[in-house]
Amino acid sequence: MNASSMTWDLVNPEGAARPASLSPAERPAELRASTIGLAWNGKPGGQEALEEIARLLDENVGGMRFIKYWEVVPESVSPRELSQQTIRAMASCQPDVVIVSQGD
Amino acid sequence: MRDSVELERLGIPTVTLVTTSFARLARVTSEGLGMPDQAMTVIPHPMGGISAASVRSKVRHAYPEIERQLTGWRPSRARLDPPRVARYVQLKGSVSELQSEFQLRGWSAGLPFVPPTRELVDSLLTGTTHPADEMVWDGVPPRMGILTVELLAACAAMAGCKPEHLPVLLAIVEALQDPAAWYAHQSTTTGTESLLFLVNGAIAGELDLAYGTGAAGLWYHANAAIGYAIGLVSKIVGGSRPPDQDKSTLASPADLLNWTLAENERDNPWTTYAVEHGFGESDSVVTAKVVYPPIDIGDHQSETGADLLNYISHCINQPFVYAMRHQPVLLGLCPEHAATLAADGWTKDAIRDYLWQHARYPAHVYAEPAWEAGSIRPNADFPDLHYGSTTLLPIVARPEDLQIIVCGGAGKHSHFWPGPKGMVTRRVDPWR
Repeated sequence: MNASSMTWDLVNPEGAARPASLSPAERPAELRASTIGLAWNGKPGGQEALEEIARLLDENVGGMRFIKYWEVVPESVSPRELSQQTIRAMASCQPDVVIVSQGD
Repeated sequence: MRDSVELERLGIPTVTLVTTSFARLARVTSEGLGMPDQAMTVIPHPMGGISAASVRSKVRHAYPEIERQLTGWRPSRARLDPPRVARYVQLKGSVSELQSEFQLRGWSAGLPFVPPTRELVDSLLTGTTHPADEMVWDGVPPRMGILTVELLAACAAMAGCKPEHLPVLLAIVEALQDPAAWYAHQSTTTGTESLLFLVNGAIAGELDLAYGTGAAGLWYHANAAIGYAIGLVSKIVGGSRPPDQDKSTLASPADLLNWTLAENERDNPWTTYAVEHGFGESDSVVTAKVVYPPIDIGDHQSETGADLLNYISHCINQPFVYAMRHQPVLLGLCPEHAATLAADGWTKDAIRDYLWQHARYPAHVYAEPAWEAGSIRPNADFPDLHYGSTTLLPIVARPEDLQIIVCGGAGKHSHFWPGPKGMVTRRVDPWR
């Protein structure tokens, strides 16, 4: 910038972003005998992807139980932000880990 | 990513499957929500609109990584860096150099703006009794920028707002935070979504907000400045900028210059939108809605309300990516169309019922694979509604999802704004 021209005392229009830090949840040590949630946001292709992941996990690891959230918590099938109530309903199924399809 | 973060917050680990086109947005959203890193498997875009066999093939290639992330993933960063954004900034240069600098910083598209000098922002702050450092939004998505009254005033200054516009802007900001407004989705979706602000009551006259001819056309200062100011909040504070965060496939000018108009209360033969929703006639309120680009309903022929409604029902009859997720939709009747309908005794409720019955399309417009996959079906709000491929689907699930306003001036052009969600009204007076 040309220092010989004007000086602008401005309010920074960007502002700060939320500073909080959230640690990721602890992962299961192994998958055998675990419960795996499959969450689909309702976008085409996502359900097939999750079904295929479940099939591959069954084939390669085995001994897992799968929760298909589109069957047990149908309100979770939505491209929009899920309500806290829906998130709690998903958590109440007590999965050890959840695979979430966000595909488009 | 929000849902994954919320599950992690409850102690449930997640692995999120995203496509290459959305990986950057996923990371920014995750950071904005407080997670410095998240287990994410990225597969080639797209996942939709391809065969099931192609989807399965992509997943098979990614499978080793998915299995690894389920147990062995660790975050690359444990904590987020503390914010390093200065409240004030001093820059030197000409007006043109300042414009370039703002563009480099991602604060401007390079179009003209008014520099938000401390002096100008202070003058805008006289438009409200709320203190400059009051936080009015604890995280504008997707960046989760913290919005204070002062920061809103800075964006308002850039957009050319006047002090008296600030209470309306603050009421809009309050409305957008209601989950029903669906703001977070609007800020990042691939859809052509933007925001519409409808103003009712005394404040419209006080601010000289246009409601008649060309009201939404940006040649009226208050309408244009208010819509632009919120656009800048979205882009600068919220970080909703293409191509990485705002993922709208094409987008529209209303992405930056949001629709802002007052209802034409003078020529409205029925009750206004605000009164219909429980407010008084002079109450100053603003309603925010996520909208798609409007459809022009130009009917110069109909002499009766019945003929006009028949025409309108064909104009607004269109499917949506998910069956019946248009809710609410907004029909903006021009005064001449409203007069034709009212003269024949049509009430708003009767209009809604007629259009719900007649604006219908066959469910088989959706491709058969989508039916098989179950992705095209009535949304989760209506789990008990069953239909087959020949069923005629209404454009909204219920007649009351079709909202009606009167807007614009002389002529026979009404408008229809489809929209996925969101119609939230807030009072302006608490923000004065």
